Amino acid sequence: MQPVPDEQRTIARAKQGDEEAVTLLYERYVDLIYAYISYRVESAEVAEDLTSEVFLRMVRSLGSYTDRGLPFRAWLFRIAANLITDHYRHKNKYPVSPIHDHFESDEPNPFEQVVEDQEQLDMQLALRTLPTQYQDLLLLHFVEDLPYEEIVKIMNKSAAALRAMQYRALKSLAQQLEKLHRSRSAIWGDEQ
Amino acid sequence: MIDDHLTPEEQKLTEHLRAMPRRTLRPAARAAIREQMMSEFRARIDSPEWQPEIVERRRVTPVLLRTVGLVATLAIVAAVVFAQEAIRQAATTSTITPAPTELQPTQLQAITLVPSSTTTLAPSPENTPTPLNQEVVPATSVPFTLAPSDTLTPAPPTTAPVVVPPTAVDGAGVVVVEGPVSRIDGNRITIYSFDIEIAPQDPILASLAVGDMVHVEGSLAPSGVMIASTVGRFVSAPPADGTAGAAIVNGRVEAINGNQLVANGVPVRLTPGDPILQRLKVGDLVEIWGTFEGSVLIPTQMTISTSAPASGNPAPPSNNGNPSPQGMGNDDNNGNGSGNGMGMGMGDDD
Repeated sequence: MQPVPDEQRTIARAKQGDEEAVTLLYERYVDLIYAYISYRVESAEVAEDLTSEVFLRMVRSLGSYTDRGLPFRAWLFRIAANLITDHYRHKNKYPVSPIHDHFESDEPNPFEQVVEDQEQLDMQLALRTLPTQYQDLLLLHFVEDLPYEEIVKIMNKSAAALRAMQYRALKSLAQQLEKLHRSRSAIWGDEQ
Repeated sequence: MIDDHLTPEEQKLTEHLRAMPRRTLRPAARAAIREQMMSEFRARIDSPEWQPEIVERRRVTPVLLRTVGLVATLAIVAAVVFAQEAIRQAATTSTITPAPTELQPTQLQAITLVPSSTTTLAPSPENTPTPLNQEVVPATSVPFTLAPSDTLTPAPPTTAPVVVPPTAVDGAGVVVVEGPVSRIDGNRITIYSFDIEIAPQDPILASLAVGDMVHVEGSLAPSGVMIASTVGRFVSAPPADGTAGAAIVNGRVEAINGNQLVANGVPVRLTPGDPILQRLKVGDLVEIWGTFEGSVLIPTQMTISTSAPASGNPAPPSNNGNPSPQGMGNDDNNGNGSGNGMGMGMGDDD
């Protein structure tokens, strides 16, 4: 996703108190932010709460927002990432329980997608066992499709650090998936 | 790019990641979040903290402002030391105890930072000096005065008088003292514990009486006596229409945002659509009477003067019939019932 050309003008209007501009910013980014948060938290309710908090913070800070080369959405992602960290810090743990069932599915008949669903569930479970920075990197780049230049700014890392991190993140993810597959095979094997 | 170096296994993994179902926000939640956000936004833009223009100005000239702030802070340090010495001297003949935290609005006391013609210091949020200790009345370089609204010449406070040290001094050494006259001895008056010497030929001496609330600007002599350069009497009556006129702000408009403006660092909120907003612009000199809601002044009267008066004082209000601070002492506008001789912190109007 490329930065929106008239974004600076929209932000300037929002800073002047233009409600239409604020709504425009909201509509432009709410889905991105919600999707990102929802992969990282345990339920749709929490994802909605945190998404709401992101945009409350956006309007609270908009008056003092200045463009320092960081795309507006990167600023929002950074707020979201901090909120997620706070959320888990408050809960004092990183849950690894399945989140899939709590979210609505776009599939008309989920039963026809058992295998695919199982793979997706494994992917989500494996993802959530990774260190938070690995999760952020993989979600922002491969799921949210953000370019590395932007992720560098959101995560405050150098490009080289990001490159190394991606290598480790994918390796860890593969290992976690492998573990899940092994344990599932063992369970099904016993039952059969 | 990083992705060009992925192994086939990693490629497969990333394809799985990309294929993860996209979460979508429920329409009801989407609307609720938007509504909540907009409520917050409306509340924010009505608050005095929302001053984009000022924020922008801060960004443009941070170095200059820091420099001005540093100079002002240094000047205040020197003034406080000097003033404390004066207080010590005065305390040998008086039992008055400094208690600035007991300030009451009805006691008409204020300390103002008065920019002189030799400095570019202007009272605005960027260069407001930080109070250095408890004896310095808070960083209100904002020259507004809380005035009693029920009497023209308030009696001296019945509670223990409050010493207001002449803390606000700019680079030129201007000291401002405001309060009730407690003693008159020839051309020397006393406000709280401060002896103030007024020029013998100053016409204000003929009419000045104990209990008068005055605003004095001047400099401190080494003896601790203040030599007045400007003396003005407060007339702190409410407007004739009966509305509460508890505060006055004189000064330049620094920012305008919708129906809100900042005059001399004081956030002011006008009624949306007020016709005065159409001709008001940044830089205008204004005099505003009103009441404070929190830190925001809600005007009951407001006048604009687009050009700076020669004396450095704001132009008189145009609403004849409503009392306003009367010109006294060094002013030329004695007797017309308007204007003022109190400086009000706008010494340089350039």
